[in-house]
Amino acid sequence: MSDQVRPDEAARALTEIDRRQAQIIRAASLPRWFWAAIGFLLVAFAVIVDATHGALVQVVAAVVFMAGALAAVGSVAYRSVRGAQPRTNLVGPRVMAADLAFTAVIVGVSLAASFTLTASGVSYAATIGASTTAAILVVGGPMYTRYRQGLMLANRSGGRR
Amino acid sequence: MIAPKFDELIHAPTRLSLVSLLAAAEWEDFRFLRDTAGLSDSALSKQLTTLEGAGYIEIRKGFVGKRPRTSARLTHVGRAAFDQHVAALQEIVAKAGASVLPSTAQVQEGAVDGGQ
Repeated sequence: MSDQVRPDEAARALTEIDRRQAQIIRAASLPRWFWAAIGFLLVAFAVIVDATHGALVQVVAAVVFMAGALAAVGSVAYRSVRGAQPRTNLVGPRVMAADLAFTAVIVGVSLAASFTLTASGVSYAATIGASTTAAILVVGGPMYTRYRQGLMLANRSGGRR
Repeated sequence: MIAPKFDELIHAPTRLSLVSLLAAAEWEDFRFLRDTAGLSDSALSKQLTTLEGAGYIEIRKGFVGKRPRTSARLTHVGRAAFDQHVAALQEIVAKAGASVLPSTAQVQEGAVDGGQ
């Protein structure tokens, strides 16, 4: 039978395989809105911390921030359970290293901005620091998602290397 | 090194799509497979039954709350057959030279565009 398969037909089949496997990886990736939602929550929380001095208000803001973050993560997790669940072997050492590096960049920049602004006595230090972090999330998050998809595509079974 | 082995059962277009999806996934939900592959319930059931009969996939039926939920995944046999089939396709293409290679860039673009 394989002798009867033309090379162009085999090439099309390989493309279809790649396309379908990419669909699984894409469907399981973090959506663009997730990064924007986390960024918005961060900035909103920081504005309340900077603009108010009442402990109760700040506690309520922290609770709302946590609830919002949990809702965003929960929504993504729910979508993942109902939809595509990529094989664990698609997440190789490079993907894990990239995840850690991206997290380290976000945390590092956030802490550096916060400490620098606070030490300088800048007003609304928390808001400015959170805005910096939010900008990284909104711009860098989707870019990182695409990069991560590329790494996972390279790990998939049966794909062209 | 995977020994190339063309598999007629997998090569049928609909089954190729389904096995390709399952090869990148753990347990995959019936509805996700149906919607992603663009099949009707009955068409998907038929193909899954064929693949299950060949020992290529395992089907799990359960309940989430009161709703029935059907999932499928590739077995070791199915994964081995898929890998061998891909190797056979790659061999056919390689023998013909690079002129018939489809654009990998297109596939990668498809992976990162939209769906966000």
